[in-house]
Amino acid sequence: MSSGGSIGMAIVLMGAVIGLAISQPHIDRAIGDLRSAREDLMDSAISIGNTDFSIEEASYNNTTGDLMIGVFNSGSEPLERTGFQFLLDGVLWAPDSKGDPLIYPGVTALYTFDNVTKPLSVRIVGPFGLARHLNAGDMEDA
Amino acid sequence: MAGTAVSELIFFMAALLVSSAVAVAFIDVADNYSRGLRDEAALLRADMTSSLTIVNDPGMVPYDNASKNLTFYIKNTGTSELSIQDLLVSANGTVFVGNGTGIMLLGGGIRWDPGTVVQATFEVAGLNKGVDYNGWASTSALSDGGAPRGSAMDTLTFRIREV
Repeated sequence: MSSGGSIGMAIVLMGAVIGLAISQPHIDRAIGDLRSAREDLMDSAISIGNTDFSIEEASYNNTTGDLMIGVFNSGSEPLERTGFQFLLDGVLWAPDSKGDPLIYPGVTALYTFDNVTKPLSVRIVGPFGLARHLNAGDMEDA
Repeated sequence: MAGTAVSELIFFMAALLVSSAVAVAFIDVADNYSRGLRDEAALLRADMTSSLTIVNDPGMVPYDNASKNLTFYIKNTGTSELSIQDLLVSANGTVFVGNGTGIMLLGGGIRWDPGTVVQATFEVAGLNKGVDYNGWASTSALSDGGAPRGSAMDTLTFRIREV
């Protein structure tokens, strides 16, 4: 091989090495992104698996129009008290809720709605879009 | 003799030029490929972490028969911020772009963070009680810098409740 050919090969190899060197940080970051996304996804799947709630009690006071709903954390992860949405007959209502901002596993949080018409249907939406449903027949008279 | 030297020099120069061009092409291709890979990974990550859910009671979606306004409640059920501006909602074939006045972020705040709910009220003519309709909502997720990254979508089969 001539000296031109040898030097040419050396330049091509150098280009390949420089190309790899330039791409290395991007590839590292892409792999890091994917790894962290996979970890997030696994964390999220574990959280979803560990999250559950049920309606422990529900009562309606015909005199005052007060509705009281007890949400029981039947999962193994604490839930945010403000992380629930309540739809009374399809319309979103903000409850009056006082107490610990977290609902620990095995604990019931009470939500009250003042001066509402007795709903035929209550839908409670929790974390990750988990939902529970309650009919008027499920409510006790207070 | 001199002619041979000149031709050797020409071959040498040509070899240098060609090999330099190949080297530059290598660098360019590797750079483009790695940037694309990084962008793809970021997009995949955003897609995996963005999710929304239409949390309406499927049997009782609020519908104002006078104004023909339908209301969807859409919750961010992912782990990344969602874009309110890019929100699209649709019911019975009518599509509504979410940057209008019918969009309201509930619970205060200015960002559609995980766990928060957006109320989308939009006009859909001719919905009747007791009939099943299809609706959907879609938006893009936002990166930490606020740029759109990934997307989220949910569908709902519902009946209306006149309010």
